[in-house]
Amino acid sequence: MLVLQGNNKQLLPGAIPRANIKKQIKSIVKKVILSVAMMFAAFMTQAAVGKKMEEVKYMSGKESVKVETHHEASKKLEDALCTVTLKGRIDLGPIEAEVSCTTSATTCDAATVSALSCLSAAMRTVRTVIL
Amino acid sequence: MLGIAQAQTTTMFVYEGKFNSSFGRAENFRQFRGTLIVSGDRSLFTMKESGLHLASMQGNNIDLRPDSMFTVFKDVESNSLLFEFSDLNQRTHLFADTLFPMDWKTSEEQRSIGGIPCRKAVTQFKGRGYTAWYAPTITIPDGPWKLGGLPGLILEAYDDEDNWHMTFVSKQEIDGFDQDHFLAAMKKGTEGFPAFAAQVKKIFSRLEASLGAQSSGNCIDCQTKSVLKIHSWEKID
Repeated sequence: MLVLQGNNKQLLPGAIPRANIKKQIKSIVKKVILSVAMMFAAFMTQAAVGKKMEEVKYMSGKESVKVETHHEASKKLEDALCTVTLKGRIDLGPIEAEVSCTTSATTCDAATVSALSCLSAAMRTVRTVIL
Repeated sequence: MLGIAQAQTTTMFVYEGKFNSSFGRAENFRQFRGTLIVSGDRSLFTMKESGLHLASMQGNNIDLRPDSMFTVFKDVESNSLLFEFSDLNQRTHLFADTLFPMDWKTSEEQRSIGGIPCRKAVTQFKGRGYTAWYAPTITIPDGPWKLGGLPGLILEAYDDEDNWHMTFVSKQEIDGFDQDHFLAAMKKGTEGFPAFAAQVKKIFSRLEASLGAQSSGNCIDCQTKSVLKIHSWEKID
């Protein structure tokens, strides 16, 4: 069977419009790809423009923003400080000496490590005095 | 006519009890056996921890408690009292204190301890409130540790927070006890309670000075501070 294809509008008698569909699909896909590409390009342009604008804004208000940022960071630091106290004992019966180490840090892990280090050093000092 | 010499009897009164060495701050109770040996006008009280006790330095707890704690020698005749203190090097020192200075308030409350009728008395002594149950039928004005001066032997005593508690459980006659060490100290002259307080402060001043050399935190946003506190069962001014 002879398949003759002209344009979509012209179908020769007996022609099967299979190839047209393929062409149509290809065309649609091309259009979609193009649209997406254009949209992406547009987005990137916008982003670039936006960033640029932001940068400009940032740079123009650099000092104040920095200070503000610094303050915010400091405030957040204070709010987030974790305080840990560890204690050691020297037991003499009716007399007891208590050594305590208090540490504040941004994380409780860091505070605990520092307090442990402090207390270990303190108890080593005590042992030195005793011995 | 032959005189009849009466041998002085020595009686050992046994107490069971407890002591919290972290008094007022935490619970660190241990069980103790107390013995009050009475021979005439003299007595010796001491407390020993039940079970085996060894001094130790483990981790952040240094245990230098002596084998015998709250050791007190009393001599009513000479109105004297000596108590022992064990320092950081586990050397024992004797200091003198006033014999039975406490002002007891007796009440009509009664109870039986070991089958012996007792009456209640309360007092304030060296910064703590104490309750004592004494037996009027045992005419020995003595008791555990530095307590005494009631018209009967104290069979049970404890502080208001129940950090220290001694209860009579049994008694037995014994041959006697070694008083020479204490009598020699009394004869030689022994420093009083203020000297004891000064020695305690001096010992821990050494510790404080050593700890003061510790540096502060080694990071920008953290800070380390070590503090030394002394806790004494008897109030030290």
